[in-house]
Amino acid sequence: MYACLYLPGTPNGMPKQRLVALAREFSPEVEHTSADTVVFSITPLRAILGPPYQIASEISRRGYERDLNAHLAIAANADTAILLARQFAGVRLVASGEEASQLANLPLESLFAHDVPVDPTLLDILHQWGLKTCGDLAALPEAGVRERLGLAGVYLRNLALGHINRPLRIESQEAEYEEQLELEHPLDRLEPLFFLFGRALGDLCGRLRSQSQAARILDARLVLDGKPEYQCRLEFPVPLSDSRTMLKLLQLHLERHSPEARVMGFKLRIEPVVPRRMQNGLFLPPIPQPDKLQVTLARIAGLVGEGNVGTPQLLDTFRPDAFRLTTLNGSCFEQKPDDSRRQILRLSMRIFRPPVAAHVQVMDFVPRRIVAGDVKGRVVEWSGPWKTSGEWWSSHAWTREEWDVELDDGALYRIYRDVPASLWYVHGVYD
Amino acid sequence: MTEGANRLPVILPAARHTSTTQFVELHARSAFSFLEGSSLPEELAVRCAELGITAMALSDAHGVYGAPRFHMAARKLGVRALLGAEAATTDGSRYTLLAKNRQGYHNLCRLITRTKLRDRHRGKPENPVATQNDFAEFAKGLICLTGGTEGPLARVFSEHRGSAARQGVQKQVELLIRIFGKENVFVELQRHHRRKQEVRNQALVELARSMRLPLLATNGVTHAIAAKRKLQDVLTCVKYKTTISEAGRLLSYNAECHLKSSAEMNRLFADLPEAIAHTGELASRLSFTLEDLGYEFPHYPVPAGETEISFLRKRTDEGARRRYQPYSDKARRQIERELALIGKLKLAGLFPNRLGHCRILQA
Repeated sequence: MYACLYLPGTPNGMPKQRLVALAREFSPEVEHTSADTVVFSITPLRAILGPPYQIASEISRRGYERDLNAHLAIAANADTAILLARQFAGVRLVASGEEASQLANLPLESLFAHDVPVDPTLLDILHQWGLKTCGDLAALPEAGVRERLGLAGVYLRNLALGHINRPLRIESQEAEYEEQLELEHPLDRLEPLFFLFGRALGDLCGRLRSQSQAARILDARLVLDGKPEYQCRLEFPVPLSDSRTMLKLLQLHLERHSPEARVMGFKLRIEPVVPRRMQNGLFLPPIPQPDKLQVTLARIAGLVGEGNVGTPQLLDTFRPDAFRLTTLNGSCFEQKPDDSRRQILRLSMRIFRPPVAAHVQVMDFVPRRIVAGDVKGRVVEWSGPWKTSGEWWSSHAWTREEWDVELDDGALYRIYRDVPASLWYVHGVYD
Repeated sequence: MTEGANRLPVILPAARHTSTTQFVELHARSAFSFLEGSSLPEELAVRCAELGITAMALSDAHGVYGAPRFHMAARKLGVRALLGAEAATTDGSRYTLLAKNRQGYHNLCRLITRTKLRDRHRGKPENPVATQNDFAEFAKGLICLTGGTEGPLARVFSEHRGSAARQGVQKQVELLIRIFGKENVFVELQRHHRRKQEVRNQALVELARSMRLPLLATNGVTHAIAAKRKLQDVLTCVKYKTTISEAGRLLSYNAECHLKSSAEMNRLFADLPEAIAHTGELASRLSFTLEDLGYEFPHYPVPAGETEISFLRKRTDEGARRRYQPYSDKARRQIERELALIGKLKLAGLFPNRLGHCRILQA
């Protein structure tokens, strides 16, 4: 059984909140049908309050106490309750099986004022057919209605009969993933702070797990004594829900970037995501645990610098050797499809990063002699120039002329000339 | 990190050539290849004149819209304007077709019209595609180049490697020979200073020699001068509905797809001088220009023993006698001048037709 509360003439949000508050006194799950209408299930209340008329009486009493002059309708399904509550003032009770007779006298317009969108031109068609009430529409044979009006017509007929049974559309409440604490005494050491972080993260992770979610970003803000707020944002490559791992990552970060003053308080906020479920294959190599991998990466980043750890990803550009480091995640361990069909004999090249500046002697536009640190010699054979240029619209514009050269010692190198700067470099050596 | 290369690329002998053979650019797109060319036909003609190129073929994508403007501009500058077009095939590649004679021009126009009409029915007039049957039907009078990056051979190379690529390319060339005839198929080579392109070129040279097909050097021109590359990049972004910073490898690899002088092309193809020489030879075979359009107005059925001009002369005389009373010498001289001009322009059949229409309207 469902109860519908309708408060006529409620354009703004305040009465809706009062309606919702009244409905929540009877059920935790309330459908906010529209600004003036709420629906909730009263089936569990039967064991507590008794039959529907007693439940209706109790709802009316509470509404009177709250000074809410709302219409109330109780029916076996939500849509019938809504239609009746919107049409009749006071209290309306419909026993199961009597929906069609109760709805029969309702004008057809009430079906089109319902919340499910129906093509309004259908109302004109029904009027042209001479139909005035829900009872008129309900009396038509279903097959005929389907044939002439399609599924929309069948839906309207079922609505007029009170035969639509659907679950309530409940909006899930946004959970808050934020913990903050103001300390009575400022902390000048990190260990006690980590202890407090551990408790706060434990609560946050518990909340995450209860909603089947995991953390993607941890945002920590520390209120410092006499200094601007300290802020750190940890973005996890793999969503986490383990508080100990998060604490460890936060600890590693704070050890690398210590706050400049004593800590007066903190706020931890988590941005949740739905965690990725992945099943390992039987014949695939074992993948490191995501949490352990992230702790290891954070330790490496502490040694080599934060921008120097990750998965290299080629950029969509013709710029030679253009890549960026992206966050390392589990996908880099996934087995790639077999590409052996496309494999052919290739020369490999070791690229010098950064490239080695070179002095190149040019004759007839062709490099003849190279001196670049250990790389030196006379050019005995060459190919090129291979020209690339791009990003002319930005400050990163490049124009290069590459040559593949064989020196008199037999080694093969790739050299290039930065055309705008007119400088030569050794880019790499062929193995 | 290591980087692969198929093989050590061949040498482009930058300064090893000595003689200069006259080069004719036979594969160029203008701005009439909508969003695939950034120079107007007039700009291409002017650049040809500046570089001393005596002839150039305009081969726009899916049309010959730019040809009249190119022809007019080239005529003023003393450049011979040859005509062609790129026609898309069902496999996504394009054949570069050049009109050898008037029949070739007619066939090219018919081919393009058919593909556009057919695809209009499918709701895609911007992507006309010709089937192999279409090509076979309209192949007469046309020369086919194997194309550059968009050509059928480049497509095979992009999809296959090694022996599979060689076999695929050979099949494609055999197909072209079946359609256009062996003497009308040229293996096109372009050199834009790209490694991959050069690897492809080497395979094509090998194939052409094994199949005894002529090599032909072109530069796959999309803009008249190197500076126009920027505009071409912007047009590419418009075509793919993206921003220039996100277009990535859709943009040009470098700024080499511009018109180049004979000296420059000779230097680029110093190891393949026949590829340059064939451009001149092929250009001399392409006898068709818009000068030879050969449009004739409909003929008028005249009685036996009459020509169109004699018939027109009689009808004019009858009309003049009615109109001019008296029929003065001045009027006679004027009419005689007009009839002489009509006879010279071969418009004699047009006026009796119009006369017939007027009589029908008067009735």
